Amino acid sequence: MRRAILTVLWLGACAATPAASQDDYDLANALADRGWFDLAEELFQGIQNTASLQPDKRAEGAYGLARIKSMQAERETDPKKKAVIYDGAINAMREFITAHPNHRRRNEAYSDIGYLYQQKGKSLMSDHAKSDQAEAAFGEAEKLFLELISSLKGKRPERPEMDGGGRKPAGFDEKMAAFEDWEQRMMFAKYNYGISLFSHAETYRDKPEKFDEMKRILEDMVKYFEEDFMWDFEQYILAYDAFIYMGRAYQLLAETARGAQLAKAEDYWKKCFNFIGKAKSLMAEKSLRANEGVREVALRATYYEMKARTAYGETRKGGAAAKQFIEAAKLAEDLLKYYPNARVDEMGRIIRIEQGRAYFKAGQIDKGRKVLEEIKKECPDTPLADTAIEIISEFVGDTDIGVLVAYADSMLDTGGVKIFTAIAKYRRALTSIRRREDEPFIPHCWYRLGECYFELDRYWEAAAACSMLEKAPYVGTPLGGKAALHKLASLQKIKDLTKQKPDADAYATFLDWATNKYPKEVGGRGIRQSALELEKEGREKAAADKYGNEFEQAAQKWLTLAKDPGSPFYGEALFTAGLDWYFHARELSKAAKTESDGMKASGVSQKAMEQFSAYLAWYRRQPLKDDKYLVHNAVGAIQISMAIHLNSKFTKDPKAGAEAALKISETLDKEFPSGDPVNLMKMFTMRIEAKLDLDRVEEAGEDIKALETRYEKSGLGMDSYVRALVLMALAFEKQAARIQAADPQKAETFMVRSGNYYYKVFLLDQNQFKSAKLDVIAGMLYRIADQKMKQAQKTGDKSLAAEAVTSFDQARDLYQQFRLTTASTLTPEQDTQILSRIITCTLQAGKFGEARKLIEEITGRDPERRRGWAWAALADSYIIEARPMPPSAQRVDLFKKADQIFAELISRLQGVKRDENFWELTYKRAEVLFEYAPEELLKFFQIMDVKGYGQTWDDGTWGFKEKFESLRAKLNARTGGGQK
Amino acid sequence: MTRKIVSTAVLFLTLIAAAVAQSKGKVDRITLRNGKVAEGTIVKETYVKIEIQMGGTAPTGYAPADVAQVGLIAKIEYADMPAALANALKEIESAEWQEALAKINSAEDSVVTLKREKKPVPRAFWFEPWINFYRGVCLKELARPDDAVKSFKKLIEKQKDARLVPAAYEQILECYRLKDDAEGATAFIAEIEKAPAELKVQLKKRAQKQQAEIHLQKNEADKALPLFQELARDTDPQLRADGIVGVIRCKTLSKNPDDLIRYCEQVLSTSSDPALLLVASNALGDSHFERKQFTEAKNHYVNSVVRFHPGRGSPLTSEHERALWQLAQCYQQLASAAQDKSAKDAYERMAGRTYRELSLEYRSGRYADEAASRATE
Repeated sequence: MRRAILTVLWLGACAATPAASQDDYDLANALADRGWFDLAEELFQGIQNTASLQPDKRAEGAYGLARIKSMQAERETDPKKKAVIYDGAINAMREFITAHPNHRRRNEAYSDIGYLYQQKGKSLMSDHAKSDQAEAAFGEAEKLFLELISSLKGKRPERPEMDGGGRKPAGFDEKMAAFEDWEQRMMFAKYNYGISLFSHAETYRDKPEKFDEMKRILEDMVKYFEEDFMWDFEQYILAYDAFIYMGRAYQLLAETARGAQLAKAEDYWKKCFNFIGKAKSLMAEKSLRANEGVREVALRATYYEMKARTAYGETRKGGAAAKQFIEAAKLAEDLLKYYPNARVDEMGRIIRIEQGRAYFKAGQIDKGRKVLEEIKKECPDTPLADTAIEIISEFVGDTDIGVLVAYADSMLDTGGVKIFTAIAKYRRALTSIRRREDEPFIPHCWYRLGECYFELDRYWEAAAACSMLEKAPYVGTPLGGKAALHKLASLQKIKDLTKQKPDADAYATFLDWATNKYPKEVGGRGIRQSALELEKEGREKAAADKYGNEFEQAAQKWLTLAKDPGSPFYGEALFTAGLDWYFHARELSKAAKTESDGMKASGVSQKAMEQFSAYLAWYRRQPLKDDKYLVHNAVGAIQISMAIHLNSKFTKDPKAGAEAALKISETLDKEFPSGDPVNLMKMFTMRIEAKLDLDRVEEAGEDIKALETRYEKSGLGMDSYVRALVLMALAFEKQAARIQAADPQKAETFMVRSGNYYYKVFLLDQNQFKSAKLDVIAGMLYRIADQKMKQAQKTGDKSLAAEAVTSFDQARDLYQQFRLTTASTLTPEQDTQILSRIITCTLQAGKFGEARKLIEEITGRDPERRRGWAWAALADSYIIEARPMPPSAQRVDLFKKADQIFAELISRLQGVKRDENFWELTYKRAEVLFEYAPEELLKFFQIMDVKGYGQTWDDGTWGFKEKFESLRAKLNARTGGGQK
Repeated sequence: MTRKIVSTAVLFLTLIAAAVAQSKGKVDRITLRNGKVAEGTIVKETYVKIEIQMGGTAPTGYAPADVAQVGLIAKIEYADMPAALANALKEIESAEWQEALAKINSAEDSVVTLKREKKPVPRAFWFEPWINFYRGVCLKELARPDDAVKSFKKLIEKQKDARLVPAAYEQILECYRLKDDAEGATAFIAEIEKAPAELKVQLKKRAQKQQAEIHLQKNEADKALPLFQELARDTDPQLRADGIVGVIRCKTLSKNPDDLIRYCEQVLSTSSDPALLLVASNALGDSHFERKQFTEAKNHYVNSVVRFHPGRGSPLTSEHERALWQLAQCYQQLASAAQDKSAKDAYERMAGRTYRELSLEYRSGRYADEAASRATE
């Protein structure tokens, strides 16, 4: 959030940069956010090395590269490596600041350093032995911001004042810009200092011996925010974020109050809700809700209030506790009313998870389960789904063993430290099984417990768990066979470890037993085991950028198993051999130096595809396809084959590759209706990419409609959907550019289609447009809409007019977003220009009420009618509304209002200048008179003739002479008069 | 209908065949330890019997007649149990005594509110004894034995025929033992004579158990052993289990490893109760550990950890926790003794991960901090 807030505030600065490199910068950031670091790095390096860019623009590349390091640190799971990567990221940020002390991203870089220190501190704090280093890291963060604040205090520029007559003295704008720049830096520094205190204190929440220290830090933080922070709500959303932190600080104080402090707890809770409530109040303002920053604050505030309500409920009893839990759940309902789309974004889902938990705590088991089951279905196999299952299993696990076991399975599949959770859950399931229908879970739990311990290299425990399946009724069953293999593997490890005779004897004895009971399983086990070990070695080498032939050897091992269709490993061998060939091909490709190396890689990739094809053929022959691993592998086989076909390193003929990718995936929909939705979305996007490669743009357009339906149904795979939309937009943009000279009209239709796709991207993921790109696309849509509307008015083509209205509507949304996110940085002239476009779009889209509100906002503050454009727009709104009306008093009244405005504006300009604006207003007034008072128009022409303008008009400079004469002819025709 | 003197654990369920209309989801449920479930309306819960009126449908997979078989009660769920009490029982399972006590008080308060609002309240025949009993348990665990005794005595005096009465007697004796108040215990044992005749035999056996515990507390294993041995032959499974555990503890104290090993192996080969298996397996592990036979000790602790978990809420979960700690210690010892570097690394990894398991599974346990500091992933 902290980053996002900063980004929102920096939009203004971004908007002023050259669009092309800005797009690259945004794209690189978006890629990095999604974890595609290699691609992001390439783009940032490109920005850094582009000599034609301004130095400060190139410096953004350096900043981006430093940011990647910071993101990599956050994703690293090994605590030792994490601390090192954090240090690297901190250094990179410091180098950026040193090299570019006045760069506009310096504040962001300072925030990043502080944040990195805090994250490093948190990560170290989890290790008892490193708490000193953790404290030092927190200290560094606080020191950094205090130094920054202190240095800024000495550099405060004078705030310029207007002179006595309310005029700007010379140099006013420059001085004001310098002051605002200083103010912004100071606010950021203070905000970050407060947050660094909070982060420090928060690490003590589970350490009662540190509660006094925590209290002191939190009280310092609150005091600091109350007395020293700059509460500039108008300009910075940041201030609302500070409220959330203050609320959270009071929550911590309330939760950890002990002894004499307990009496204060209730007061702390009140303050907690009060401060978070202030942040939440932002979303109560309808006009602000569309702002991305406001949305983010609203979501965060809701989330933290829910957490606080739940925690407060825990301290209450009976009905009072339930009341808090229900209140927490209701907060989510309220938020989702304002932001229905938030249901399917990550933060929204986290909030829904808290909602489910709150329902459970309130005793509303059915409601809680419903909410969490929905999440589980929407995003299967994700950490969110795991959390949902965990909560369900916590509350109903004693009675619903299936839920408990499913959760344990997902934990084991996740691996790492989650395996310990899996062990606890399997154990709980085994001790909770009482009903006959739950008994089938018993062998499953024992086998999986064995797997858990094996994964943890605790082979004695693994063997003990697996041995539970050596007796009736489990012996002889497929699971019994699997358990026997696992136990055998464990005993082998034990034998190799201890090198003791009793362990070797135990292994030999069990091998005899297992060979007798499960001959096929035991036969293939050794080969499988060695293949898996080779793969492990290969992965380790690849991670260290060292390449060997382990994957090739592993593939050969699997091929041995794949010779016997009766082997229990047959299907696994077919698929995994393909996978290993693919990995081997990738390694060869990465290490390739010559064309022949590349050819070799390509050849190996073909072997992979042959294996996948064999696996798919086998899979399709299987009578039952309910094993999720079989399905998973089948989808994987198609996905990797598509990736190979579409990869230029493996495929010589891109067109043929694209055709093949399409062919292999053409039955996806029918064959895998319940496949992993995220993977399927990726594959459908790959199909679109393939069609675009083949210039089958129209067909791709049809596919994207199906993709849209799929996305709307599940809310999953947004990344893929957005990617597909961007690909489509780019494809149409390219097509438009290609035919621009030969067929400008067709080029325009392509641009419209491109614009439509961009607009959808905008609606889905505004992060893609945190830049001048918004303005550019809005401008494009506006121009197109304008041309269409003019054309439609000429020809009377209603469908064209409707298209124009849609484009105006879209342009208006984009302009509004642009204006909201850049409000603090636009000059009054820029703001006026954007506002006038918003008004025009709103008018053209037929939203008169809305447009008039916008206009009246301006005209209401302008009784002297200095802002003529706004008044003219108001008059336009009356005309546009009146024109299609049947004759009536209301229609006349609207024209009269427009007439009065035009008359007033013209009279102001008459003595000053007769420019295009003057003639346009005059002509518009004439048109109005023609509509509701032709006799007045007659007089108008007479007066103009008398004054001499009736002959010359604008001398044809802006085309008004023709227009006036044409109107005069129309008037004559209507009145039968003899006007010249 | 069978009538018999019963312990707190062995109960007969009386099924009243007459169909009783039950609205869905509003039934009482009795789960036996053998997994069988009876659903209906419980109308009586005494130390003699539990009476349940069954609805028209039997629990899935079981005929009502099955439920009527004698079995050990694993769980009783009342449809009108206030959420606070249900939560308190969960807290008790997790040994969160302070929280449990607060929730029990809250459950009691909620009844006052329900009465004031003229809403249905939990049926008094079960609610009041449960409140008195579980409050006593929490107070005892919170080292407030005097208050606990008051709560148990209230149950004995006011709800004379409640199912929990025999357990309350035993809990009172345990409170005296915790206070190291032999005189108080003796005086209370004399009070057992005043108990209902049908309870007297059982209560005397429970008193015998507590006397044995007092001997053990004073390191008088030779005096405790015959008392426990007698209990180990009892027909009441719970008393029998308590007796076996007592015998193992006495034999551990008597420093005769061969005798201990013999007895524990006998228990391991004859019992199927995971709690007993855990205690026996741990005793074997301890015996080897003391003699620095870490490989053998490790094997026993592995069984304790993996195969003999006593179940959530069992008073013996602390034995499981201890087994994890001991197992990690064994791995550490084996690592120190290993000559080969790869073996040393492997044992250290096993130790680190066993400590991790311990620190995560028993977060607020006695070894949690130490285990967390030694844990690796």
